[in-house]
Amino acid sequence: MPLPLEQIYDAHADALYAFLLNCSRDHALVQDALQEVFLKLARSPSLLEKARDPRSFLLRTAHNALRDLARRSSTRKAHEETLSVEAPSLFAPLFPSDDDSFRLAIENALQNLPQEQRAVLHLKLWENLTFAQIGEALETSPHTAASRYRYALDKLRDLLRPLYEERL
Amino acid sequence: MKSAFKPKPMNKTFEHRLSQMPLRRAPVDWRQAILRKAHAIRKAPPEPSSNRISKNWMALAAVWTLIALLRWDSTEESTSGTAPLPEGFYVPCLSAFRSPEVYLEALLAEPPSPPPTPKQSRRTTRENAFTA
Repeated sequence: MPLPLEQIYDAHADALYAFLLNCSRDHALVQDALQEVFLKLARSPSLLEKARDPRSFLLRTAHNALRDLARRSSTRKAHEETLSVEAPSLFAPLFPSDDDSFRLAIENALQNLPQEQRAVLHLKLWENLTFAQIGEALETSPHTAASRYRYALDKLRDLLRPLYEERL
Repeated sequence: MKSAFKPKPMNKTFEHRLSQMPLRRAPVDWRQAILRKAHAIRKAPPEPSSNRISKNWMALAAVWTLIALLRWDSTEESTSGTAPLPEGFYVPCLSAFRSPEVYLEALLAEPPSPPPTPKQSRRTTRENAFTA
């Protein structure tokens, strides 16, 4: 018996949303991709049951949906020249206010990373997945995932070092 | 003195600090909208397979019928339902499969000479009169 969609949404939607938001700055695209995940589950309720790791499966589905939608959207935009909807900040506001500058610095630094590195970084840091799981979710090898993570972390360290060292 | 070339490495605390950043939750109003659409799809009766497949099968059947007819036509002397053409005549576009040699011969045959122009006619008449 497949789980009710509400239960799946409540368990995974926030994680999928944050992941998608980290991968794309187009909020409308993020919403479409998230919706696509649940439409797919509605069409084939047994999909999630067959998955070894439901979270990894959903993250992969969301990533694929975002990639497909972005491809279609970029084609459409090329013709229509419409502006994308700017996404809100990935991180929740922090207190005290000086931490907020750290938040903004991380956000800016993340935007300087290539999308595939950002995706790996997100899954490692905020989803706590292993490189094998990340590789499965992003359809790449665990070694590639690990090297992308190292590159991403090195770049983030370089970008955030001045700010971070002040706090040590 | 701290070297500019050997910066102090940031240890796991950097990763830990990043991983502790609170992430934004999905907008509350999305839940209802997304689930409503998903439920609408789940409740919708599945599209009958005949609707999905029949168009393809019909197209395929039509193509095979056409091929079969053409092959059958190629073995027949005349097209079914039409009067046989007089000897030496054929319709190339309908008989392309019948005998490629004949079709090729017709294509390569010298075109019939065009009717003489009035000027040529007058000239021929003059020449004939002169000869006579």
